[in-house]
Amino acid sequence: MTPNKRPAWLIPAVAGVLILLPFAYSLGRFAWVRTFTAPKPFLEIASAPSQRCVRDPKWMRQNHKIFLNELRDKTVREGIRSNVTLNSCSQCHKDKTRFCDKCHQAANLHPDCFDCHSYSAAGSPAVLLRGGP
Amino acid sequence: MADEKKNVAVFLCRGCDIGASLDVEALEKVAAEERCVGLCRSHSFLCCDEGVAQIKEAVQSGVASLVIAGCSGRFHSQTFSFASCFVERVNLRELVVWSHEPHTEDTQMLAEDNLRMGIARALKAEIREPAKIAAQRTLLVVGGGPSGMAAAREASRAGYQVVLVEKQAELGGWLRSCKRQFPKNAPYRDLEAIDLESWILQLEGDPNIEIHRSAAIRSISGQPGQFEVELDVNDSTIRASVGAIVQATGWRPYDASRLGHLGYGRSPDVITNVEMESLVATGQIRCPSDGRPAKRIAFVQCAGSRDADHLPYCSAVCCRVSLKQALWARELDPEIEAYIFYKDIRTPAQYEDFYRRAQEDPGISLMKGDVISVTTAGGRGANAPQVNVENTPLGPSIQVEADLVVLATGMVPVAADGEAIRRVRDARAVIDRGQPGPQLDGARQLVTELGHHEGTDLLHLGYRQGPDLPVLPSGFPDSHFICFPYETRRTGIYAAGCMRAPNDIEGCISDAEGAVLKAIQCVELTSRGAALHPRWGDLSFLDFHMQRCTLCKRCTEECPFGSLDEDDKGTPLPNPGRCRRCGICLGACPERIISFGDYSIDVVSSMIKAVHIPDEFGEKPRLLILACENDALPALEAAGIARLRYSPFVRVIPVRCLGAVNVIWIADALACGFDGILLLGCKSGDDYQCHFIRGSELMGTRSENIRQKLVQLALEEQRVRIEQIALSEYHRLPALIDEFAAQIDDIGLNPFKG
Amino acid sequence: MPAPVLIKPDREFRNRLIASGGEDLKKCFQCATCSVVCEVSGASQPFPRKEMIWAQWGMKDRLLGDVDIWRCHQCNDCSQRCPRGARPGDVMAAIRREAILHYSAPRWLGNIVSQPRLLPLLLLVPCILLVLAAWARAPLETFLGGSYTPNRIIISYWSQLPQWLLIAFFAPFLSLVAVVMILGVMRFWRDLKARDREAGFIGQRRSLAASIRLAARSILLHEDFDRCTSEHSRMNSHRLVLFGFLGLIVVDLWVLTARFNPLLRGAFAYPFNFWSPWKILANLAGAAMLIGCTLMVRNLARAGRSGALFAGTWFDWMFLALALAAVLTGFACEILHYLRVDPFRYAAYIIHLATVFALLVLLPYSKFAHMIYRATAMVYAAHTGRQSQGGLRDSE
Repeated sequence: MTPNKRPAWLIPAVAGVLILLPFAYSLGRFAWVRTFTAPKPFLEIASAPSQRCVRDPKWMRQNHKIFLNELRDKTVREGIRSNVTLNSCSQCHKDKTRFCDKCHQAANLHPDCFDCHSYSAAGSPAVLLRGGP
Repeated sequence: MADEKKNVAVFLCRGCDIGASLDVEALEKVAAEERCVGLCRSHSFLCCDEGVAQIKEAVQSGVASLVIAGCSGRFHSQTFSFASCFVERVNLRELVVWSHEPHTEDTQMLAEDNLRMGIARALKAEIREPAKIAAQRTLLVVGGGPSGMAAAREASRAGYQVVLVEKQAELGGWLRSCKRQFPKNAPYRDLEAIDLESWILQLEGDPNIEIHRSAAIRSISGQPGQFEVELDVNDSTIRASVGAIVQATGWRPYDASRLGHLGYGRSPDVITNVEMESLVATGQIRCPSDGRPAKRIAFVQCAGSRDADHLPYCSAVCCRVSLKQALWARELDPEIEAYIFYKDIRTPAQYEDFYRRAQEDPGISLMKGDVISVTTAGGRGANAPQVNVENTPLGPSIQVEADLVVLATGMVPVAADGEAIRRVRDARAVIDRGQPGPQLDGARQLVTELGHHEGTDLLHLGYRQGPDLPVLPSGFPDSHFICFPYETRRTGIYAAGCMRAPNDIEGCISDAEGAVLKAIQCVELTSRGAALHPRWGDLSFLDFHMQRCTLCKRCTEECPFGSLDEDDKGTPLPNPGRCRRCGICLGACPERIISFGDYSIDVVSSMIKAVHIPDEFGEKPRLLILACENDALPALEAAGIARLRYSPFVRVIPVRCLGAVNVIWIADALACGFDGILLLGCKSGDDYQCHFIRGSELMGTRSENIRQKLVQLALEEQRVRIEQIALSEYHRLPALIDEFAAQIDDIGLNPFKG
Repeated sequence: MPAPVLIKPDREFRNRLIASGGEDLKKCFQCATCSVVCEVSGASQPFPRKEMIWAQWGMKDRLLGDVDIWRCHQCNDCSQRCPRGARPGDVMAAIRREAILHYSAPRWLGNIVSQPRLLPLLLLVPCILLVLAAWARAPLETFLGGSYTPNRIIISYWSQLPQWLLIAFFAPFLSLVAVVMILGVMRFWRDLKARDREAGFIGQRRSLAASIRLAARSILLHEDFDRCTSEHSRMNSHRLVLFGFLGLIVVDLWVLTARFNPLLRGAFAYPFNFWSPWKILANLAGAAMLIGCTLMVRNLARAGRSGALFAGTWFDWMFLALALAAVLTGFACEILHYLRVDPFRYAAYIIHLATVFALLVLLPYSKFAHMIYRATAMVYAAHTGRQSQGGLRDSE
């Protein structure tokens, strides 16, 4: 063939790059989001809380879902009440928008807690009855 | 003998470089003064009208012999032929000015010697009345197969009478057992029917053709133009006089019982192609062993052909026949699978299309390979034969099972070995005489070896040399195979059809037509007293001085054409119609009693003696070249045409054949003072080129005589050399001649000089 | 002297070869011009001359287990130069078809699905089944106890045919195809080794890993296509189709495995955004495949008109037509989706799924199988040291 034929690996290389491009994009985006767009929840601690958090932030960050579910089960289903209640937590954790939602929205999560429980800026988390549980 | 002062005229041509290279006036002087010729003239272009007119004038004024010195006698032969005048052509062109340096003393001496030799011959040669023979315008056709029938038809068309002899009760030969033939017309794809009956009717209705069925030849005697034939037809004897004979005795299949390794005779399902022909003609192909329909047919090509242990030659048609039978079988039963194993497929010319047609058939599978055996495995149901093939595209050694195996065997000519029969007869005569001694033992040995030829005579020729045509080891009639395959070694008898060479029907028919034309040629020329092949039209004939014959029989034995019989006294009986004017008998005769008018012991001796031999102080050797007119002389002339140069010391005398060289000429030449003699002729041996079959071979045999002569004269053996040369090898000549000249130089000049 | 090998010609096999593209195979007279001209064939074990005589004599076993029929890339140099018009290229294609139908068992299934007149059925049946599935989605979900669509990851072109349903529909056929192909390849490999043993061929062995690398490289670079002189344009059309197909597969796999993909936590909705790189890749790949298939159609048609070169049998056309249909219906889905042409875009989707289904089911029994068998053969060829030496190129 003619001497200035383009090399045989050129087209497969181009194809390979095109095929891998979306992977690279997704991977890159994930890494970017992970690194640079970490959620920053804001917490304003009350001047004189009646009690402290039952666990440290790290533990809470990881296990708050189970903690809350177990709390619910104990409280509502088994009837064991303690001094750890939603109201007591909400003394500090009162602003859903600036605290809870930050992580939840970033991770595209929709915990169904908020289907019933709502936070008003004023006070205690009340059970909001919205057409039934 | 002719008068020395015979009326000879010499014409010298100065054209074609002759005038520019030689002193023509000196040549004229040679002619005029030394040999006393009546007239000597030169012309610048002798072959032009003016030159020829001058010659004609001389002829009209009563000149008996002409010497025309110029180009080779093979050029302008018509221009320079004059009725009633002997014409001697002296070669000054190819053999002199074109092959030697111009204007030198040696070239001039060469030219002068050539002229002297020519004049010597012109003085001695005689023109005699041609020996005409009253020839019969009837042909004998032996054999009523397709070849014989075609010959009879063609001869009748040409206006000749025909006597057609057939040994069977019906005409047609092998064509009777064929129902269909492979295609003879475009597009060469479909098998064709055979219409034998109308052909036979045509012949029967032809008034020129006399047909004898169930007939055998009892004897044929005489010579071309006057053959006397006796036939045995149904217990009566028929006599006929014919002018020439066409032998179309056909073929028989090779004996397949010798092909046991291919299964023939061991398994009933292995048959020959001839047997297959009858089998397909029945319309149903059944295995001979148990009658079941054969579904797989294997064809083994070249069965016992192209094989050193059987027939060494190819029989030409077997490939086409097998393809035909395969297609035919497939037509009868489309479930049949045909396997064809071949060394090569030979479908010549347009039959390539027939081969392609067979190939296209999905049921015909072809494969190249060597079939080494056909075996039958015992204990396996139907005992089907297996073909074992080697060197195939499917593997080095394979086996294919078939229901029926067809061996494509070859053709063996129906021809008798005339020479062998004759030798057996002679041996029997010796045995009958009963005289003890080595001759008797030899005779007994010969009968054991060749006895199987007894009783195989076909033509029953009354020739001393045998009752039939001489044949080659393959059994086919000996012809000059390389150049003249349509001639036989018996003048006036022509072989045609498969007896001459294996061929298909079309080939045999055209062969027969050609043979008839040659036979007619024979009758016509013989009636004029002229020779046939190869000295066409030669009107010279043999002259025997019988009084001095010593009955040595050398001429009778050595004639390649059986032209001489023996009379009751034992002297040779010449049959001029059979003679081809080769002169081999002339060369053989120790008493030198045989001669032609223009070629005799005296003529050539005179030519030798006419050469001026310089004495030993001249330091110019003289080398005599006796060159045969078939290949050697034309080769010398070709060397001249190519302007190749060689020693100017050679003197060339053309001879009819090296076999036509009498040893006395060697003695004469040496006695005259020639230093060396080169006998230049054609190749002998199996692929002989000699147009007279054996001449050059005989010269080889006679060389012993020559050697003895040399010893007698106390001369070196190397002075006489025999060389074989073909026309195409002319470029070898300068080296050959110069090497011979160098050798003679080494030995030294002939002590007999001066 | 080796013991003679018994030859048992298989008439039926030979007649099948003649009927499926090798009409002229009887014309071959073994002159070997084809083997000399073939760019892929090497000096030892040249082809396709031997395949022609084997075909003429119905040597079925030798042909089916012959690695060389797969090294052949149908470039048609041999058919072009054959002095007798025996078209060895066509014969090789016919043998490959027989090999595919032989190794992809069961043969009766292969015979059924690969008949061209059953193709409409092959498309109609999955259409009907998919419609039925769509209709049965809701009752099925109830029966199976709840929706399986996690609402974090929404993969639903059409909620009536959710992903789980499609996977449930296609999975059994996929597994069947996989089993058939694996069995086929195993038998094929075994026969390849058996033929080499029979023929006594011993080449220079490479490791399996190296052979796979070599074969993969050769396939991706289209080296054998590049060697062809008479129809070099096939290299481009095949490259387009191959890489287009690869691209589409990659996007499909991304979508299929989305729920297990850590990179997609909560951020994936299907169909893609038009400017998503995945969508761009899919469109480009689809376009490549479309162009490639069109080129192939054009080349085949042109070759058919000239009469000299491979015009394709129905075996080839069926595969090509289905592939083209799949690509065209895929683009139809996309266009109709953007145009929001409501009843038709779902119909297009169902038809598209049906063509994909037909292609899948036909994978082992159609020309599609060349993907697997040729790759296997190329690995085997590299493994046993078979070299390709240029045919015409070396002499020019």
